[in-house]
Amino acid sequence: MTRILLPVILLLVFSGAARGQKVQKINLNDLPEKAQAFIQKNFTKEKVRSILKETEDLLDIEYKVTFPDKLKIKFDKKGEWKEVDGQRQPIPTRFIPEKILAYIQKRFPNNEVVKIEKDRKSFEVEISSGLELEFDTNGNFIKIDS
Amino acid sequence: MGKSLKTYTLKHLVYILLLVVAVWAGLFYAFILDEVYDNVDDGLKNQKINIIRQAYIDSTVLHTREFGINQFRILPTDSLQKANIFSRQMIYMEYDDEMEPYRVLRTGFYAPDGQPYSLEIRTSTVEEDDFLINLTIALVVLYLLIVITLFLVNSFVLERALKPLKNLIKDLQNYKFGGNTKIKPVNSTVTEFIILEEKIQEMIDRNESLFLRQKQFIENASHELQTPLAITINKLDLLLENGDLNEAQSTEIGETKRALLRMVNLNKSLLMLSRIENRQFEEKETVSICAVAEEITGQLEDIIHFKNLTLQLECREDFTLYANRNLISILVSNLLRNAIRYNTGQGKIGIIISRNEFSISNTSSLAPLNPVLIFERFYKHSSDHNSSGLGLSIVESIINTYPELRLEYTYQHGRHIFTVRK
Amino acid sequence: MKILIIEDEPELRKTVQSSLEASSHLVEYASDFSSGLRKTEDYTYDCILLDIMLPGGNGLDILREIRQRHPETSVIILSAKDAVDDKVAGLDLGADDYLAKPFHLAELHSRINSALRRRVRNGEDHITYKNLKIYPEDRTLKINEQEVPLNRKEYDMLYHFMVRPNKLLQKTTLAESIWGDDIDQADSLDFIYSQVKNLRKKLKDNHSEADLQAVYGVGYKLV
Repeated sequence: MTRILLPVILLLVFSGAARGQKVQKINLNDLPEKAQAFIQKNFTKEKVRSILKETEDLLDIEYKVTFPDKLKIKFDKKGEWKEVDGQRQPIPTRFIPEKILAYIQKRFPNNEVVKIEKDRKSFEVEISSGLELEFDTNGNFIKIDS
Repeated sequence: MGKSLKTYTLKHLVYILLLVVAVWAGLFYAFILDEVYDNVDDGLKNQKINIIRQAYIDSTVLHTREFGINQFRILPTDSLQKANIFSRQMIYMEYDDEMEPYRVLRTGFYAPDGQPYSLEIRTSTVEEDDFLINLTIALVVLYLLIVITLFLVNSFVLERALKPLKNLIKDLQNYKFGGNTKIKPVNSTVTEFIILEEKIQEMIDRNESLFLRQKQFIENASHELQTPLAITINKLDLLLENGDLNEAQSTEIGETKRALLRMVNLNKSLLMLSRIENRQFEEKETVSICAVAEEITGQLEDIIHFKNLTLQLECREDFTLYANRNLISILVSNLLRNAIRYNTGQGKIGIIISRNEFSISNTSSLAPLNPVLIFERFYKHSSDHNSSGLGLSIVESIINTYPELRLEYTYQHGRHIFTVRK
Repeated sequence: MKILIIEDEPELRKTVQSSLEASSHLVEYASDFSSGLRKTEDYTYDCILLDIMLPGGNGLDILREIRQRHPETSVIILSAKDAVDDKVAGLDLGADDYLAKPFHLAELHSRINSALRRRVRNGEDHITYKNLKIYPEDRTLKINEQEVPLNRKEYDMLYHFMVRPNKLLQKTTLAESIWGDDIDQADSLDFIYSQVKNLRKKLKDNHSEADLQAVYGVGYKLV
């Protein structure tokens, strides 16, 4: 793994240098508090494999956490989770608003959440079949991205 | 001449209409087209959601390998194309025994077991296509109707709006200086026309007033000039008539009277010039030069005969013009009299008339004349003490009254030739 | 004949009056609009010479009056304006003739004669002098009751002479009366001479007792 990672990191570093982007490998402890708590609470099955800190233009910091089963989480600079991607595999759902889960269960039986993205205005949820659903910050269904 | 205001306006309007409405119609059509297909596509997308959803509930759905009543099929695939790909296809339909247009959505999803599948959904767009054809026809018809209606309405509106203007123009065309025509009042609420009519009437009134004043002036001048002459001449007449004079005295008085008569002629000529230039000869009719020439030749034939001149009058084709008969008579008469006066003994005079020109030519003892000087007032050939020198000036003045006429002098083959052209 | 002259220019009026009286006419006159009008209202005349430019009014109004009251009176308009409108208006209103000033006295005589002749129906239809008789209606000449053909201009010339026998008729007057303004001064004298010569010959050849006698080269008279 390291053998693959290192060149990747180097590539990122060099390409980042051209754009003003910096990529760092950090430890769990270096994550913001919030992020650490989030992981601890929801992702207990496995241990974190790697964490990357991406700095873009000195202002935007993104933390990319990777798990052995390919699950990825992205955190913003404050440690708020932005994205949880199960890479086609179901993800833990405890942090997901009930409303969203209830909707999915009702409208799309037998579907799991495989990815979820969060931004200021909405949630974007991908389910097993590949369909993408959009919810507002309160968990109300907005539309399907079909 | 220029084209009518209406034609001008409508022509521009039509170009704009044709262009703008066509563009609008095109955009509208494109928009509707877009909407219609969006609708169809939305339907397909909704179906996709339902099918996928159903597949998670009832796994038999996954085995729909053929387009059946539900018009979709699901096939296992190796690589997933999650993106929606829309296409149009012509598909043969049994029930209609012909090819029909269809809209097909091709997409992909994951089955509960995680395997990727491709999903194709199709729907007939016969109705939509029919709708679009009908829409196109309707748009074309509407377009034509709009264009025609706008054109007609504009035509009508312009016609009405410009009617007062047309009337004004007609009145103006009929206006004769000194003819006392009144401009008919314009029944229009359009400010511009009202002002126009007002101002034109003012101008006409001023013109008329000026004309009248000039006319009166000339008449008064005539009176004042001629009266003393009349008195003198008549007194001389009396003297001569009473017969108490001897030869010498009679001759003296005769000479005196002749000198006075010269003055009278001069006055008459000057007054005539004034009148011509003051446009006092406005009454017009169709005048035939052949007729005028014949008349004047008749009047002068004694003198022509007396001077042993030969006159040849050739009327090849009649030269007609719309003018004042008196003036034209004077024109021809003056030219002919000059031809007689300045001729040699046994000389010749030729009058040739054709459709667009007539000429009077004469043999002469005089050398070729200066074409510019001869029309100057009071220019006389030095030897002539009896002509007023105004004859040709009057001729020129008359020619100037009619812009379509031109006068030319040339000297050819030993003859002085005066030609009037249309 | 009784003739009224309505003319405001005294010298002109005096001259015309002299000339007419020399031909044994009875002449009265008025010199403005109101007195002219009054005279036409109160008296009858054989012929009225009317100047239309009168102080106090337009001569044409008097013309109307005359036409209404005395339809048998000849009216000749005299005018210095030489305006075509006046001429037309005058003739339309019933004037017998229109003479523009300045006119030759002989011409005036001639016109008066013609006008009178036209109006007076029971007057003579011919003018006689010695053995010459001319008939103005037909424009014919009879010498000793034999008709002698004359062309138009010859007749006009003879007519002028017959109207005032034994009076001098100037060449210039003849020229202007018969050939109009068309004749130019230099040639007119020779021209008239030749025309008169032709007429004399015609008269002589037809045994006329009357002759046209030259007067000092200024004109001729019928003797």
